[in-house]
Parts: sequence; C-alpha cells; structure tokens
Amino acid sequence: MDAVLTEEQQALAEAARGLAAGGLAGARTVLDGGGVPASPTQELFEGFNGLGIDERLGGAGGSLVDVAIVVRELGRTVCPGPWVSHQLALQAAVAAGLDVGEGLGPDARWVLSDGGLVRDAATGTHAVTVTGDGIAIAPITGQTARTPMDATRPLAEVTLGDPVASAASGGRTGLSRARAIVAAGLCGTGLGAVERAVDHATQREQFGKVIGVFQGVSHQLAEAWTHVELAWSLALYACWATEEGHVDAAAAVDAATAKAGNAAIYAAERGMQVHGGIGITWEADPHLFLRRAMADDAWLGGARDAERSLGEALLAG
Amino acid sequence: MDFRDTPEEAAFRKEAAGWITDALTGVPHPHPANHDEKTTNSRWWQERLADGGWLGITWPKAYGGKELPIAYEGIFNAESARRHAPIGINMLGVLLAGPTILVHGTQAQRDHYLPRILNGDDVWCQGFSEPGAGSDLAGLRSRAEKVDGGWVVNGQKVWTSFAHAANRCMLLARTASTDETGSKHKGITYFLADTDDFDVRPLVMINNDADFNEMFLDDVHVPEDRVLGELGGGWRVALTTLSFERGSLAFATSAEAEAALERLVDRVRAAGLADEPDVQREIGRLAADVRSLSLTTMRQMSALSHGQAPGGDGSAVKLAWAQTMQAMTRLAVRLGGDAGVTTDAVEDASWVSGFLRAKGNSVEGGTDEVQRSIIAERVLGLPRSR
Repeated sequence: MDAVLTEEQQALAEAARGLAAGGLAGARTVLDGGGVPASPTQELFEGFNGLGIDERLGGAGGSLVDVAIVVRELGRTVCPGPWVSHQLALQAAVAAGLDVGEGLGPDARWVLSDGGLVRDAATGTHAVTVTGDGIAIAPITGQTARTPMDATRPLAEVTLGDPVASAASGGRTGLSRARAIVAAGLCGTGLGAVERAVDHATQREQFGKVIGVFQGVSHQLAEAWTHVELAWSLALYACWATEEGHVDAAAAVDAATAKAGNAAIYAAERGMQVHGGIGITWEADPHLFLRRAMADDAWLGGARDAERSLGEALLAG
Repeated sequence: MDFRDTPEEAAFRKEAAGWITDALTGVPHPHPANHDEKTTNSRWWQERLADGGWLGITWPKAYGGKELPIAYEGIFNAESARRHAPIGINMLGVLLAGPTILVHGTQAQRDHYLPRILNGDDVWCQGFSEPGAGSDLAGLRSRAEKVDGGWVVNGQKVWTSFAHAANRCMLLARTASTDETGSKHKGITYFLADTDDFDVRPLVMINNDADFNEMFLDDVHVPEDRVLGELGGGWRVALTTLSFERGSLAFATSAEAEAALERLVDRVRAAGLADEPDVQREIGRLAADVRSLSLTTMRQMSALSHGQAPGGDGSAVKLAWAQTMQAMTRLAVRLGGDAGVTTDAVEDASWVSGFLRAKGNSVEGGTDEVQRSIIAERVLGLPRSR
C-alpha cells in the first residue's frame, strides 16, 4: 500500500493550484453577469486537455486520479469555465470505447448529458449522452438556457443532431467515471469554503479577540474539514479503483459521491455561518461556495441518489 | 497513489488472516456474556498471539519482533477486528508500553521489560487520566515524593483499561509541583510501576460492563530505576505513548466499524427491511462513512511511512469513527422497534449493549472536543483557545 500522491501528482496539484488561483475572482465576474474570463480556461485546454486519457488515444496520459487532483483545485476556488465538463464528456466516451480524437482538437468543447439539464452547453460543440447503458456523441444544434443557481455552472436543455458515434454499452461505466471526478471537485469546494472561513476567523475580532479562538467557531470548521478530508479519501479511492477496474469501483464511486456532496454542502454552510452577517451578503464569497456545492451535488445524480444506490447494493448482497 | 497491498503485504495479510481464522476456532467463549468471560478470552488470545509469534510486529528483531513497517501491524489489527478476535489482555503493553520503552528506555529497561511483554509474563495498563485530569491531562495531581531508594506515590487514576489484569503500569505522577517548575507540563515523571500495591476497583459502565477501572495509590513505593526518560520530563514521554495510540490502533477501529456495518446489514435483512428506500439510504450513508475511515487510515499510514509528520488525519478518523459507531448502533436498536429495546434475545441485547458502549467512543482516547481542537490548531492553524 502506498496511498499517497506521487511527486509528479504533487507537482500537478501545485500547477493546478496556480492556474486556479484567480478562480474566485472569475466566479465573482460570472456571478455579476460577466463572461467567463479567458484564464485559466485557455491554459487548461492548452496544457491539460485529455488528462487521464492514454497518449495512444490522443490524450495527455496520466490517470483518473490526476484528473481528480486538477478538478479538486478548480473546485477549491469555485473556478468557472467549461474545461471540467469537457473532461467529463471525454472520460465517459473513452470509457465506453468511443473514439475521442475529435474531442481532443483545440476547438472542441464537449459536454456530458445523462438526460437532464446540461452544464456548459453555451460554449459546447458536442454532447456525450448516456441513456441506460448506451452512449452517443452528437453535435449540439440548439439549446434553451435555464437560470442556474450557480452562474459558474450554466444549465440548458439541448437539442442534438445525428450522432457521430455511439455504442450500445459502456454508458454506465462512463458515467461512473465522470461522477468520480465530480466528487473530487466537491471535495475541493468544501475545502475552499473551510479555508476562506479560517482566513476570516483569524482576522475578524469580537470581544477583543480573533473569533477563531472561540471553540464555537473553530470546532465547526474542524468538523467540516474532517468530513471533507474523509470524502477526499473516498474520491481518490473511487478514481483509483475505477482506473484499476476494481470489482468495487461502482460502489466506491457511490460512496465518494455520497460523502463528497454532503461534506461540501456542510462545509459551505459552516463556512457561511462563521462569516456571520457579512457571510449572507452578496458581496462576500461564502455563497459562491454554497451555490457551487449545491449545483455540483445535483450533477449526474447527487449524494441522496448515491446513498440509496450504495445501500441497495449492499443490502442485496 | 496505490491502495493495493504490495506483494509482501498481501502475503502477510493472507498468512495472518489464515492463522487468525484457525486460531479463533478454539476461543473459550464465542459469545462472551460477561466481563469475566471477556477477560478469559483476552488472556487466551494473548497466549495464542505469543505462541504464533504475532506480537511486536514493528519491534526490532533484537527484542523478538518482526521489525516490519507499521502498515503490517495495521494489517494484522484489521484482519483481527474483521474476524471479531478478542483484544489481547496485554494489548497496551505491546502497542504502547513496549514502543515507548524502545524510544525512551535505558538499555537495562529495554532488556528487562521488552521480553516480558512479548512472552506474556507482564500485562500493562496506562495510569494517565485522573478524576481532575481528563482532557487536561497535564493537570494531573498524583504526587511522587523522593525517599531513599525510590519514590512514594499518592494519587488516584481513572479510566484504566486492563488494570484488573495488569501487573505493570505506565504511571504519570508529579515529582515537582507546577509552582516549582512554572509550567504544568514540567515536573511530571513517567514511571514503569508495579501494580501490586495499587487498589484497583472496577468502574461499572452504562451497559453494565466493566471495561475500565479506578486505581487508588496510597503510599505506593516505586524503586529508583523505574523512571522512564528524564526525571520531570515525563510529558514528552507521555506524548510518545499517545502518538502510538493514534497509530496502528486506527486500523483496528476502522475494521471494527466495518464489522459492525456487516452485522447491521444482516439485521436489516433479517428484519425484512432491505427493500425500504429510507433504510437503504441510511445504510448507504453509513457505508460511505465506514469506508472513508479505513481509506483515510491507509493514506495516513502511507504518509507516515514516507517520513511525513502526522497531520490531522488521526484526529479526523477518531472523530468520525465515534460518530459512525454511535449512528450504526443507534440505527440497529431503532430498527428493532419494541423488540429492539428489549434485551431478552441475544441479538437485541448485544445491540443495546453496543449502543450504550458506543457512547464512550466520543469520550475515550481523546474526546470529540479535544480532537476538534487538535484539528483547528494543527491543521487549520486557528489560534489556541486555552
């Protein structure tokens, strides 16, 4: 057993952290009605597109754990942009054995659909749609935007043209792969919410002390960190087990989805509470984390579905 | 990132699992009904472990150990807990006292105590907590006065597991007062005491069990050569012991949670509730929590073996473990309806007892509040609250 990030993975996390550093400012821009800033979306597509996909298939190499590492850093700053959607779609397609060469081109912007509302369709060129165990890649020919709770995760109903590729099976495996990545992003969002609240609690003073000294404050954040950290273990394992084709991979993804969604929402709520009055104002950042946690928990079926699915499988033996 | 056993770990796990399964067929009381039967099982298991050569897995070969990395001890503890093996009566000697003596002991102390831990001659208990010093351990008041040839100790200890069976004690007592040293962390001395003259009384818990004891020390003589580490420098030695407590034991506690989940799943099926969506959701949520404990422990152990300093993962696992054990046992009792709150059938009685016992999980080994403070300070960098 060697359940630690390799030196290369630590370097990857470092690089992703650098790219995501301006994420919160970007999220603010989007929330206030502006467009998604060019950076770091451009750098992500140039440097990390097709991460976790074999180089022989045109990908950047690496594993699903590597994708999780980058997506977690993006979640940590609520970074906006369609790069995550694109990776989910690529991962689902490649898992089902579909050719993703087109999707790895510089201008391709794929999105993933499980039949519900689709994220990031506005800039999307193609949708990878999973229906039952079937999967198909088709051009997006029309869309009706919906008003999202989290502006950094725009939602739309899409209409699609004729599929350019499809497979009768492998859709579920593909979706499972994508859900493992969503869980990793939620772990990042939970962690970021705790970190911002820690910053606040070490600066804000009441009763002549920084409020982080009060256990009523610090213990909430410790509890939130605990569940986010434990969820991250599940997300890492889900990605690793999926990559390895381990027998419990599906259960591992359910477990990660269940705990990551719950932990991220809990952490965002605790982070907001610790900010006090400022935390419930538009100008402060806690609601960005809360919106993202809620929006990503709903992505491809959230914690509630995953809990039920995991329990059902376990009880069926 | 690799969660798989190495070939060596896999071979060790297989050998350990096979041995444990075989050995357990001879357990004196398969379903111990009271504390005496539990103690009998624990003594018996300690002997089996010694005979089988499974003690001191991480200890140096020079002292009879296997000199393997801590992950192997974790594997053995996990496989034991998974099979509901008893707790060895000298668990604290093997996991805490021995390793602490290895770090801080003189050559004479190592040569004297270490073989006796592995061969079963000695059974250890841990005389740390006091009625007035629980979470604030450094506030302990037991006092050791210097006399010719040693020390005379007076004081009271509490929450002492295995004291009813022990002949040795990791004993903390003050050899200098806080007034003299200017700090409550200075002036504490760590003694390797004999318990012959301790007055040990069982502490009856809310499930009527007696896992813990109180110890009354009335002019107990401790010879000169029993000081471990520096005189007055016992706090540092005690921290070494506590660090071992958060170490390989974490594997046993997460495996204990896995075993409890298995039993809970059986109970749901037996109650005909396996198709109830709300029960499925509860079980799924608990299963995710249980799995997260062992995976986080694996990450923690791997980080330690790479020479990284312990982070907050140990505290996170301890905190979440207590919550999960309490939630699982609570659900098991409640699923039983009226029958669940009776103790006539063995199964119901066992869950009621387990539920009541689990209330201690958020107190023993560092309370939830202490774990949260450790995380707040050491991981999140928040200021000390005291």
